[in-house]
Amino acid sequence: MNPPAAISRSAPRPAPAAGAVFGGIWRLTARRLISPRHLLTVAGLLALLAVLAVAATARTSDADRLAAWAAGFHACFLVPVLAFVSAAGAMRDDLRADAVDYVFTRPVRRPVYLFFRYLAHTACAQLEFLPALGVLAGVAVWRGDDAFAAALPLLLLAQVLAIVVYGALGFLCGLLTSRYVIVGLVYGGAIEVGLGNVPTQLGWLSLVRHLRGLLDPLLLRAGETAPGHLGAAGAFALLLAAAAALLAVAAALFARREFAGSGAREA
Amino acid sequence: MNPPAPSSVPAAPVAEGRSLSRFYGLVLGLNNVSFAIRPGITGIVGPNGAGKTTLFRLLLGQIRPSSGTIRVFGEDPWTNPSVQARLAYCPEAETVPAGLGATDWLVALGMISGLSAAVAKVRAGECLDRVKLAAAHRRKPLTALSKGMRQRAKLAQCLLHDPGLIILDEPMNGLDPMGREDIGNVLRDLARDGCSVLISSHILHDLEALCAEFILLRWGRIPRSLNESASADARARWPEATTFRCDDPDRLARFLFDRGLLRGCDLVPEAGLLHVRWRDAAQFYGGGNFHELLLASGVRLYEVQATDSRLEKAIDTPAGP
Repeated sequence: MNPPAAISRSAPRPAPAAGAVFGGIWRLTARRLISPRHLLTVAGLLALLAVLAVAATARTSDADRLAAWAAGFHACFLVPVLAFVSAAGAMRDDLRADAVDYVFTRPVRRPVYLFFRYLAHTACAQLEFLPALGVLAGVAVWRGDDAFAAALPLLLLAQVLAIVVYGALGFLCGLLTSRYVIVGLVYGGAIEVGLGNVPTQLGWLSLVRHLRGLLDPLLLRAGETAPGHLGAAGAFALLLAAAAALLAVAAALFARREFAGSGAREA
Repeated sequence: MNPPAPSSVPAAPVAEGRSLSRFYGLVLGLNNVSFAIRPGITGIVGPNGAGKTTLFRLLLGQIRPSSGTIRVFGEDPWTNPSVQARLAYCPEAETVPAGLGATDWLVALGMISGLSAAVAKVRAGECLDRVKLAAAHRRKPLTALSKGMRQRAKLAQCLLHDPGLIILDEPMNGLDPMGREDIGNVLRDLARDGCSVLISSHILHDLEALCAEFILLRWGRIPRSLNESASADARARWPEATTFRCDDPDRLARFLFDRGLLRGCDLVPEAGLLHVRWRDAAQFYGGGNFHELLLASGVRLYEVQATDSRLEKAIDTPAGP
């Protein structure tokens, strides 16, 4: 229990190993996500997704309809919204006293903490969203829609990317304000819905536009038109770059943030 | 009752602040304070809003001073992992992570402090043993534990990485007398092992029994005169009044009066209480044989409690320069 007599308690110590730090952050993150209350919420959302999928494709015999609906609604709306809210909420949780006072008083640099926390949260979110594709596949089987299986890899890629990039956006917004839902609504209205539908260079600011570019094969098959884009590889690279940039900004802000102990005092 | 006497040559400070100020916009947190925290247990006392938590957060590197300098282990603590590796903090807030048991929480925090998973698990068990959190409660969610048990778990997370300075904000809140004694013993052991402890508490008698030095804060300042008074030679900090609960308070009062020890007293016979005001407290406590004296009275004692102290007096005194 006591340190060896030769080692002074106040002597400088080596920096903690990155693997151990990530392990600790992973434990704190994963344990929260597997709480019964959280799992119940996830189960409820999956049931709602199944109902929506059945309702949205019930009146058509088009074999591609479910894949197109999944590409347009699930991958380009539902997953981004939930990933954003989940990540921003996680960031707000980290700024509460139960994390600030116990975690940020330990020897880990703030940007490193943010990066590891983002990795842990994103990994958990990916695991949480996987069953959604399973639910959609189940609906496809129930409807006898054999073509849906071919669309799954592309949907999975889009889902993974949506969680990565909107998770980073959520971290940044959660760090900036506790009213991240309002910020998200303003962002969605102004950038995704507004600029994203303008066929100019400004439209590139829309992350959904690039997601849709990635899902073009599914959307176009259903007769929808996707606005001009960089191609699948370009969209993939741009989404990853956007996530990295958002995370870098969040890390820079986080490193300078003061924790004064109450919401009113937090600078 | 008798805190350790400070040595004649003061040791080098573990932490010190010079002309330190911190403002939150127009709100005053700390105003031009200078202090030195030396090895051992240092008490920090002041009314709510005096600036105790601001001082703690400056020491922890969670906020920056508006002006002045602060050094912990000789370095600037602001987001400095080198300093944080040797610090530990037990906050006053009751908030603890939901959905986690004490052991899981400590293992995760230990790993963030750099311990491997296996070592963190062993250390978590040792630390929970040390604060006497029963094994049956270690797997329960932290949020389901009683206030006293949560306090023990919060203290245990401070011990994981053998810190050189532990900062405790009201760690005695919610603890029963036995719990306070347990925590006090842990802190004394830590101090003996070379760990410095900075502790705030509104339970002044506990602080007096624990601490060799004090920092008194009032409205964001450290009034020098009060600090000199409170941190005077610990041996001289005898309580000026004491309450005895016994089977025959009248007899005990006569016994003490006959020996010229009392300036005055109040009797509450129905409750078995005797409140005494010492003529010279050092005459009673300082001789080292007051236990024998009380035994000689032939009265059965149930409780002895200091009811007025130099620390209380210092806090109640209007601040001088």
